[in-house]
Amino acid sequence: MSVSNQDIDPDSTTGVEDVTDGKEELIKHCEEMWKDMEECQNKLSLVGTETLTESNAQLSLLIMQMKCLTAELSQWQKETPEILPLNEEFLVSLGKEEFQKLRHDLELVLSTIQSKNEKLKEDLEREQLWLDEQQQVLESLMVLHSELKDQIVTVSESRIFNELKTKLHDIKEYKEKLLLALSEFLEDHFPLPDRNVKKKKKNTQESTIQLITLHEILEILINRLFDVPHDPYVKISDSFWPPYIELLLRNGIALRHPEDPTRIRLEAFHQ
Amino acid sequence: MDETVAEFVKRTILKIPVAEMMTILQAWGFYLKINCRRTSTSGERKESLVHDLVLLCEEKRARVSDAALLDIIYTQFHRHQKVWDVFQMTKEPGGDIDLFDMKQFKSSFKKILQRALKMAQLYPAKEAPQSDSASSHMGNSARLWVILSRGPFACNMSRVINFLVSVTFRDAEENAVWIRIAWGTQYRKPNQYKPTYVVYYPQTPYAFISSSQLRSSIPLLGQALTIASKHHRIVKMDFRSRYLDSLKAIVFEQYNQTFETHNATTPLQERSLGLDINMDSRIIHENRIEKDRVQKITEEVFGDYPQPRLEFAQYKLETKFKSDLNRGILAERNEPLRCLVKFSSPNLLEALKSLAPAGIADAPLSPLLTCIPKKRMNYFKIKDK
Amino acid sequence: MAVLRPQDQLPGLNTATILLVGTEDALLQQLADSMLKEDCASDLKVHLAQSLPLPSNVTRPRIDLIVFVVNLHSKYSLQNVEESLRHVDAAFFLGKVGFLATGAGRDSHCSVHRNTVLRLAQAYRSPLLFCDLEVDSFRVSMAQRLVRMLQVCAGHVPGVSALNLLSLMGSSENPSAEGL
Repeated sequence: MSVSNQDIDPDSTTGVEDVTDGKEELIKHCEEMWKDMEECQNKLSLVGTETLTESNAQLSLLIMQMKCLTAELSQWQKETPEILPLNEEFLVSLGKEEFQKLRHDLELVLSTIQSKNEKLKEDLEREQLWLDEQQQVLESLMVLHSELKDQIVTVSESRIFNELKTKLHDIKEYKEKLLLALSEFLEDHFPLPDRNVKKKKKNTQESTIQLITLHEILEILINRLFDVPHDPYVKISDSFWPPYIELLLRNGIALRHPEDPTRIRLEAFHQ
Repeated sequence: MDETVAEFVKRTILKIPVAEMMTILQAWGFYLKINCRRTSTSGERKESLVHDLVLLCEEKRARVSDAALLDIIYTQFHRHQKVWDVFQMTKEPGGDIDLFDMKQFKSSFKKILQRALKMAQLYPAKEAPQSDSASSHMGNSARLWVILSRGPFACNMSRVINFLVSVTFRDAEENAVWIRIAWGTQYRKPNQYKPTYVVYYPQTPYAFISSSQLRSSIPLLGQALTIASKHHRIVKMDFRSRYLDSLKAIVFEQYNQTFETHNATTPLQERSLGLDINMDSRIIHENRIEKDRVQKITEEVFGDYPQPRLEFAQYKLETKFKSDLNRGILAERNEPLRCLVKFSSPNLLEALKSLAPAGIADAPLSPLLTCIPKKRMNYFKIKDK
Repeated sequence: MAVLRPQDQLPGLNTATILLVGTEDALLQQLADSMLKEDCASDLKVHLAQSLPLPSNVTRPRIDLIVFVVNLHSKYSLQNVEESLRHVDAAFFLGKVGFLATGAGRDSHCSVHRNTVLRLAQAYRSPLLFCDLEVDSFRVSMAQRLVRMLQVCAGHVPGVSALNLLSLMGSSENPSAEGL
């Protein structure tokens, strides 16, 4: 069973090449081994063949395996490691070969390491570049940050209050101005009917009633609308001059009550 | 042009792949002159092209028969989209050797088919036409006539007959004639979308008919074909395939030729994969002699030419269970076992051919498998002797 | 020569020979090609056979490893292997026989159950390898494995014998096999 273990060692055949003096010695050694093998082969060829069927195979194979493994075990135990003849030249050449192999391997390692190094260097450069960029970004952000910090002004309540006050004041003034302008406009363009007109004199009843100005009518309407928003209608009194009421209604400034024609309201312009 | 004709033309043209458009339209011929005007169609969208063509057809007053011709040409290009049945006709011994006249064949085929169909539809089912039922015949015809004359078209009796079926012929390669039959009924125009195709090789006893759902019309077709070609009997063979050319090659024993180019390269590749002996000297084939034997047997059976293409072979078995060993339930059965074995492959014969060389089956193969081309059938019924 | 024996000849110099047995020639051929592409210090020789016994009228080198290829899609292929096994000397089963089942990937195509092959390999105390030889990458890795096995079986790996390898593989390969 040990035949396969004694196969010609490929190393021993290649090792011969360089050495000239030790060559013969080695060949002799190999030949001895070959002779051993042939002997074993002869013995083996005497052993009969045995084939198996699926049914009986398991047991006989197990027995065979056990035997063989035991034989192999004892072989390993008996065997002393075989040493090649200690010829100096041979050893030198073997050593050389070994060294050459090693050198080759190391060269390979070197080139791999070098290429790796290069790659790492590239990586480093790239990382460095990236870092620089990041730092630049950081700096510009810092600058922006400080700029924004400067712009922050403490907000004081009184200041806002004052501002609002002035705004309010301005608006009030503006309102006054508008009202004034309106009243002037109304006075100029919508005066009360002249009592000195002769037609009116005939109607004595009428003259007794004190008519109010358009300005006043509007004021009443506005006040009513804002004071009593749920019922903004105003009763038309005799002091309202009918042509002005007509004017207000025609132009959509005032609206008549849908059920009571004697009451009007101001159009809700503010809504 | 009739609206239905326009629709028919449109649908037919839409079926045609853009790549084949020019070839098919040129083969059609009807619009050759028009097509000269518009040489480049590749860049255009198909729909607009179709639209233009339909307009042109309307201009030229295309008839149903023109459209049917286009459909035949399309089918000739795409013949593998149909399944073809082989029919064999026989003559009674001692018959005269007739000279075949194509013109006469066509006209008599058409006439016989129309007459047969008319009879079949006027006297449906088992009721055979009798001489004294002529009156009812007249009655039916008259009614039909009335129905038709009320229609939008002027019509006479010959139109009535035309109404039942439309037949179109086209001469093809190797003297073959392609016949397209669109079936109608007495009340409806022929349905142009479910036609039956017949490919007949004059002066041979074989015809190939595309399978259709209208089974009832096949006997009529056979009758018309038999009489028009001056034969006496027609039999449907148990032989069927998509590949018309392969069927033809088997039937006419024209083996040594190349078959339809559809995927023709694959079987060759398969062969080179498995059978060529590698040149690497480190690989040693132990059973070279056996291999050579298998190769030789295979070649003897199948020849060294590429096989005709068939997609399937079907075997209906009716057999008794035979076994000496286990007398089970099956052994005691008196009734035969029935089973159906179906072999299918994109190229069945080529597959069978490579079975033994690939080591999947023993050589020689069972004659049941190898007799397909010789027996010209791929539907078998096998019974115990 | 009818029965194949492991040690009927002296070994060739630095040669390792494998015998692939299986019905499907194309698969064996592809496997052989892949094996020869492997980088290996020994001189490889691949013999392909449909079945055993081998023809006796030719000389061939000592065979170091037999691999029986079973295609799970084909009962015929299994039967062929079972037949062939009867022409193998018992000594081969001390580590120089392997079973290779292919086609397990497409379960629906299988007509041979995996357990059947597993039991067969178990009965002959030999390793069973699974590999879909039709898949290129799988085949290449299987070829690599077979080359390593072959080198051991040919005695080209100092310190490891075929039986040694077998006892190592047996324990790791099919732990469940004992239970069958």
